[in-house]
Amino acid sequence: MSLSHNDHYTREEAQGILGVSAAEIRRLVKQGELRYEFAAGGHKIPADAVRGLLAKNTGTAKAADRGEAAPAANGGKAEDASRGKTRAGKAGHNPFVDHLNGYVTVSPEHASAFDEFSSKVAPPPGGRLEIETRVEEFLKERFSGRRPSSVILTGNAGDGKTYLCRRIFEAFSGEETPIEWGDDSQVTVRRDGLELRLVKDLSEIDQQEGERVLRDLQTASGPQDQGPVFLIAANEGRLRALLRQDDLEELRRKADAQLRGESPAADDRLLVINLNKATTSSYVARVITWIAKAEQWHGCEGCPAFDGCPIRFNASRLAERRVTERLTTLYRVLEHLDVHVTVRDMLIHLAYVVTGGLSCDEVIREHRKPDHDLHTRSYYQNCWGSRASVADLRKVAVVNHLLALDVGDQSLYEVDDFIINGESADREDVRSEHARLFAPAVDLKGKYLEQRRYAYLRGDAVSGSSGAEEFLRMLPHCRRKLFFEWQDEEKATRLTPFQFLPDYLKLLGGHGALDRAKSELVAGLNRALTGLFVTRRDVLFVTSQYAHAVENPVPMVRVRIPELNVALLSESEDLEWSEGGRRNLMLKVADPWAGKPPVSERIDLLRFEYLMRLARGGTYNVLAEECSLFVRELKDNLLTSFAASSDHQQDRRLTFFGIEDDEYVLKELRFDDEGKLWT
Amino acid sequence: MTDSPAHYGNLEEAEGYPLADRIFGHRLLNGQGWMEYLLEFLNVLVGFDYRLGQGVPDEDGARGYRRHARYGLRRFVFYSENEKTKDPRDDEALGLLREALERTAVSESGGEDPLSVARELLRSYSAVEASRSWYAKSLFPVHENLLFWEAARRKRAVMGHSNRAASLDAGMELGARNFFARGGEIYYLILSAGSRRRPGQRAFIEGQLKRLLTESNSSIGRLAGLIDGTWEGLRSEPNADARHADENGVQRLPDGTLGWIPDPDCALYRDMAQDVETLLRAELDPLESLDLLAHLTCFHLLIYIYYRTNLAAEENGEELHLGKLMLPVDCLEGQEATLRQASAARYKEHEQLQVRRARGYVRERVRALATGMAGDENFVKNLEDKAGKYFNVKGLGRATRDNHEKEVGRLKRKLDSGELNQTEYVERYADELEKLLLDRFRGRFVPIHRKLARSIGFVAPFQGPSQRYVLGDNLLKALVLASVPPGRPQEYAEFLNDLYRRYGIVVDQRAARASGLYDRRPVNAEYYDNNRIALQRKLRAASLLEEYSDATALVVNGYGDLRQEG
Repeated sequence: MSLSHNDHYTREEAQGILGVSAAEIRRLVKQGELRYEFAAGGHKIPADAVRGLLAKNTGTAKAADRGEAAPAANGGKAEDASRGKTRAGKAGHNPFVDHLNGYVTVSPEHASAFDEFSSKVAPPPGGRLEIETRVEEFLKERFSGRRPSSVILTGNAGDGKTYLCRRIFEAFSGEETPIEWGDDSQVTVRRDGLELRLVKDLSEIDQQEGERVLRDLQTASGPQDQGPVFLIAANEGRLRALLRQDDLEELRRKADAQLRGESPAADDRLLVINLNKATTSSYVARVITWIAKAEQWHGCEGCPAFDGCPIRFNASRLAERRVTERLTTLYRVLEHLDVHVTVRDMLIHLAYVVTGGLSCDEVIREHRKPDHDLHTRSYYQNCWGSRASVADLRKVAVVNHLLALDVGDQSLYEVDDFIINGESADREDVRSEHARLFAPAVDLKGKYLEQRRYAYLRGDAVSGSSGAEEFLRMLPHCRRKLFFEWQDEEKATRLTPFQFLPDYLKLLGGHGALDRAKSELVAGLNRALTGLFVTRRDVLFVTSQYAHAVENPVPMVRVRIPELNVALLSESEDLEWSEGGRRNLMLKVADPWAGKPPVSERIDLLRFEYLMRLARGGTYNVLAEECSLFVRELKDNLLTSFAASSDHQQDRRLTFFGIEDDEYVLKELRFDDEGKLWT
Repeated sequence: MTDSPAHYGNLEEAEGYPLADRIFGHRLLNGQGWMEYLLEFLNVLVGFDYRLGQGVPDEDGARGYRRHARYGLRRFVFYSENEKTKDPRDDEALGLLREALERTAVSESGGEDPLSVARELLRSYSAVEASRSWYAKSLFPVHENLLFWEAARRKRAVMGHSNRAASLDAGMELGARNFFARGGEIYYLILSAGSRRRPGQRAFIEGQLKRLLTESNSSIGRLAGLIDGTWEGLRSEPNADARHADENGVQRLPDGTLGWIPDPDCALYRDMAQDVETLLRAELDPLESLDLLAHLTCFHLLIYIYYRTNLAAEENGEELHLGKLMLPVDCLEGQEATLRQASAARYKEHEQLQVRRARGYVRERVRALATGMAGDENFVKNLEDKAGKYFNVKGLGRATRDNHEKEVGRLKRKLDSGELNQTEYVERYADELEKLLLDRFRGRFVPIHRKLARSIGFVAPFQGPSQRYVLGDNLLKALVLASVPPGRPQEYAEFLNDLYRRYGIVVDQRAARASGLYDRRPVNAEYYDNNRIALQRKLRAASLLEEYSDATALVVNGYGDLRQEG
């Protein structure tokens, strides 16, 4: 049940919401604080009266904050809170596990992931999750000013738009009572004669009203600078659709420019913040810290599965610095593959990584069985949803994205050899690292893995022993563990399908040799552009060739760009409202004749991998599906930018790559002043 | 029903036309290679001095187009030791040309032989090779100097000329039409008919194509011109045959005549002209523009075939809706079996539909001819004559015709004996005529759609089982640039809707439902969602799509705009 969707409550519902007896309701009606109205289904109490009373009743909120018995914020949440209380009272039921499962949409209690709900439920023992983000700080600062400019927040569902609206409401109004969104998703609040209008979702209001709001915003953000200021959360598609109206042209122009990445003009009274640009990876560590807080796990005391519980194990392992960093790296890699993970998706995923969707009851029940498989619920398995059903996988979006980076299925000799034989390695540090990693633990089911490894080493695989076979089946499990826990970061990172990920990350961080990488990228580009195994890397050859040549292709060199004119840079998307923004690897190609602006292309992880593989002799088919059209687009850009001036200079020249002695070499034909042909 | 249905171009009813031409215009043949559609089209356009709307009675303008022979150039590029039928005339001609080039056009240099280097370079533009003679091969027209018409060598001996070079070319002719079957002419007619009422659009297309063929790659054009010019110089030396040479001595007489297409006001032609205009607006590498145009040309002809097969479109005022063509595209690389099968089945079905359409057409025509003959004493003979002439039965092989005549004779005896009445006879006669005509239709027409679709990456794999509709990189890019003008982004959903409305391409769930595909093959709706997402990803990787928040995605044509509006 949600407050915002009910106009009236029955007496019983109002009792539940306010946490009072029937007699108390009667008393409140007598005193005129509540009233009955005729509504569908009989006489009922208007919802706004109940809300008003609830807002006044500060004692209610405080009680809920302490996790005491219901009076909770509303009916639905009263149930949550009371259930939490009941479970908390029973040995072995940690209410925080329930709370986490509230994020996991695979469980029926997924309310925690929505701000409208989570802001009203009883907080867990270690406190409510409140990530202090730069964007929140930025907005608070902005709206604390005398006459702030209006803001449109766009972003995917789950990026925290509603959360930010609530936080700004609280900061602006100085009220701590939960915000009550009207039926039209709007709230107006005043401070020192300034009116702030908040719209939590432009999609929730009808078209006419939406256009009216935007017209008001257009006036407010115009040169007159009059009227209220706005904070509007909007789905971009909806926003663009509403802005199509002719009389919203000015606002459309401003919004569109900013959505396309331009900075607002100095005199703009409007700021568009696209939360899609925020790097969710920067919040991962903060969420893990909150999950791992000791208070959250006090509820586990006395649990019969205390020592063998994967959930508790996962929470504590995740909090180890190395593990947190590697998980953050995975999120960063997604960002570099242009996958935007929303804050809500991250919360759902991290909660799932910890609980695997299991409740305390299920863990306890499983734990009693001698052949349980709770070790398959360890965090690194949950990270890739290895035990999740297809239906569950669909709901935990991040798992789907991460499947492309699954380290479990990559068999690298040095890694598998370490897993199998690391114990008897020559080097002491390797042996001790192996001993550390594979010491009996919950995620290895005590000595279970070790025993199977021995079976394999004894040669039982040949004799068909199931233990040895099981060990082989557990290799992906071990590889995933190594990815997170191995000290050797370089090797761990190489477990992903991206061979050049370590180099890419180093370059982004400014630690790599950008010049050397640039030279390799030029070689890769030459091969990608010509389609030939060209070995030159001192010049970037922009060629054009007939793509359906029957014989060997003969690419004509249209533009030659000395490597000196090519730059590889690591740049940050500077956003004043975000934590640093994403860093990008940019390839900038300057006009060899210095007449035109440079061509700039982002080299994302896929493109980097593709070009580096080509430079190192890889074949064209790998990643071609993802990258060949990019290469053509780059070629188009380079040609349309630079070829005209180049043609002017090379009017009498025909330079191309031809075969000589089984090698591709540059050949040239020239016309002399008399129009005769030379080589 | 008149003998001459509404048409655009030159329909000579006295000649009669094969069944496929009656339905699809004059004419499309399986022998034409996919690139030859563009080559023929550009040859015709250049032959009309870069003007559309020429050579048709409905519009003023030139009657015939010039065909470029360029024997010197093509012999230089293609004739070699590997020629399948070596000819002493060509050996001699090549020798003469090389000698003249060495003498007049090449400077002595210490490096590699310039002529070998030039040949290597020019050969890389070889657009049509197959195992053909040198004169039936073509070059990709990076410059107009590389354009020439398909040639053949007459079997009969030709009287020699007093000019040696000209006499070596004397056996050549440009009228073979083995490979330039008229598919490119049909495209010329389509664009001409489609741009008839839009002079601005027509001028833009003409201008852009001229720019592509004259202003870019001028150095290659110069090289080709040097070689061919040297040969023409030899041919025009004293005593050359003036009949075939104009003032420049390089062009044939403008004797190319266009065929015809049905339904001159068809909205499809307007849409296609619009596509070409939009594609040519993007400022691309000229070679890329021409390559994309080759893909778009074949794609348009494919849609044209499907459209005329089904006549399934719904015309709503100016707008045509081709949703019923229902072309389910598999963007998931065949990973989802159900989607793959739905697409593969539809690909096969389109073939059956063509056969069904041909059958229906023959029967409909025979019935119509018979209707006007009630009470005709020579009913049987007249029907046979009229139908035979209409479908140009004489153009078919003797053996097949003999068989047919035997069967018709048998039917006639049955009619005479009263075993069949006249109505029954007409139906049985239609059966026989169907059999006669369908053979050639199946062999020479039906495979065209396969060849076109596979060559442009609209069907994959190229060989092997499970062929289905896909969107290859080149085709996808061509379709985006033909649908989305530079600087005017379109929402992804709208783009998909356009693909569906304009070409019948089904990618997402909405189109699957609207086209009826969903009801036929109720596969999990999620597959279509995945299909949509996969295409979105592909467009994004190609920088043809930008994603914003909340699943807002815009299909973009980020190239410069060569047509400044307003």
